[in-house]
Amino acid sequence: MNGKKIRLRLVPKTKTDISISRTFGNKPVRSAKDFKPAKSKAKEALRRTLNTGVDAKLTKNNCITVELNADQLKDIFQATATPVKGKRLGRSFTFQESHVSSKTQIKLPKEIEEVVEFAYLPSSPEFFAPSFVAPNISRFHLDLDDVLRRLNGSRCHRQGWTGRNIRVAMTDTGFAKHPYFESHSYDIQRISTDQTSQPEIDDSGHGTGESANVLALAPDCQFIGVKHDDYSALALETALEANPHVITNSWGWNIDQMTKQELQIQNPNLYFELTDLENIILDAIDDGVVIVFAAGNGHFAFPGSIPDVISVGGASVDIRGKLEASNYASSFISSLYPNRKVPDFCGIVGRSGTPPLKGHIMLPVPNGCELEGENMPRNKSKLGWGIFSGTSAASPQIAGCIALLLSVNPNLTPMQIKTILSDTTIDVVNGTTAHGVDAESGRDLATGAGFVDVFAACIMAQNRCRSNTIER
Amino acid sequence: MKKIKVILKERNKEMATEVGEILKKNRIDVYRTSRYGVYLNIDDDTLKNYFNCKLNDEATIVEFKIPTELNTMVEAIYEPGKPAFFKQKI
Repeated sequence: MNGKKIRLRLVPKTKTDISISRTFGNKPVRSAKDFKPAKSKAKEALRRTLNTGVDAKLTKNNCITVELNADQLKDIFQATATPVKGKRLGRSFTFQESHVSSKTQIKLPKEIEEVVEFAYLPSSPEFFAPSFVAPNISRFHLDLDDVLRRLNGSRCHRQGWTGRNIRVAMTDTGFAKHPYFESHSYDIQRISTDQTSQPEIDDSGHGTGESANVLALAPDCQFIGVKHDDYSALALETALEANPHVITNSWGWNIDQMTKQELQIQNPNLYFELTDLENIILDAIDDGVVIVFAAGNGHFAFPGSIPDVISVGGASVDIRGKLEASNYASSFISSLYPNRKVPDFCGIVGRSGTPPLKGHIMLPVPNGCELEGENMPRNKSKLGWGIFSGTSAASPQIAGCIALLLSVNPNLTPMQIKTILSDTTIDVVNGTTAHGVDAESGRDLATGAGFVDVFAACIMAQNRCRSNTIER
Repeated sequence: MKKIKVILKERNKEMATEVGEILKKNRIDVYRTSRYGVYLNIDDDTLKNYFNCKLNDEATIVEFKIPTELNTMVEAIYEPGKPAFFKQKI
């Protein structure tokens, strides 16, 4: 801690000897000139400050900036530097950058008391532009590294499995050019459909934020963001034209509580739309494209219920890293496709309703969008980040996992991928889903095969690669 | 104007092109064809006259009739609906 410099600002007494601090906010308002620090006093203050053994400089407006370490702060200014501690996913952190609270009392030493009016610790202002790093907040949440670790993706990265040469498409609300993505040098292509424009504009923040889940898992994949408004068939067709290996979709209709016959009678327009989507999706899977859908946040969601689609549900992660079925994620038996159980397996989805948040993820979003500042303290609400989750997050996480699997063995078929991921999960035995289904030991309706362990899946994919070469 | 997709009896790009040409002759704005169908922008009058569409109070298509010149190739038409994005805010 002693090596880290702390910055103080000293304000010399004024030309007129009018106290700045005593006059602050009081009427009558004086001329600003009255409060200008006297140059002679500033120079004298600098000399005396340097004599205390700290680094100090005079600024253009006759103030003094001082750089000192924690020991000097204690010895000279009688103030204590306390490291700020935080906790995240079962591990304690000391935030190196936050040595001293801005509320710390600073006492001027006698040597400079005559010429300096007061000293203060400059606090960080709030910048109204997206930050490339997630802000530190004390409220429990996951960050994208936690998502990677919890799905066991960091072990894949150490093996060199990072999704290189794998194309992952995502159809969503837009994909903003957030500094977070640029700082990671991700390979991102943003495209619009014939009915959308400006794919880098994302008024919701949903697409931008959730896409970070793919890239956290598969940082070297070629990511293709397709801006989707309300034309799902067009979005999927546009995504398929980009020739992806995987398409992830965090949307659907809350419709799977009736049979196809009932739907055709009750809502023929929607029936034909869903038939069209089903045709596009099944053809894509036949062509070897892995289609991933969110199972829904308490929805009975189509297209996630199409049997050959990978349907992703949710498990929440608490501060100790413990898993339980998320009370926000769907689990149901399809009516459109009898005997189809949703989900197939799970990614991370927050637990809803009772603070503290469980499993919500800090995600980058564009300034001014609907999700900016979500679940954040007010003073951190305009930094281009939000804390949210849902099966919308779980689906791109699993798409990222699939990109890792394909970087191990690019010949895997969609069905083989589904089987490998199902066979290598971590069993989730606690918790109840949004549909009131309890998680149990073994495969169950609540979480399907369980929580994805992508490293175990990659090892299995590697073994299959050695034992069996399959032409794609 | 409504955004409408015409879906085909077979998944066939040539058939889609042929359907698209017929629709263009009827002065309908066709902006995309694919093996899955034909995408058009169409006004309510043309929709009612050409496809004999009936709309409910929410302007959703509840009934339509495929014109004779298309009925060997076209299965149905629909207007896309807005799906839900599954975000979790609470």
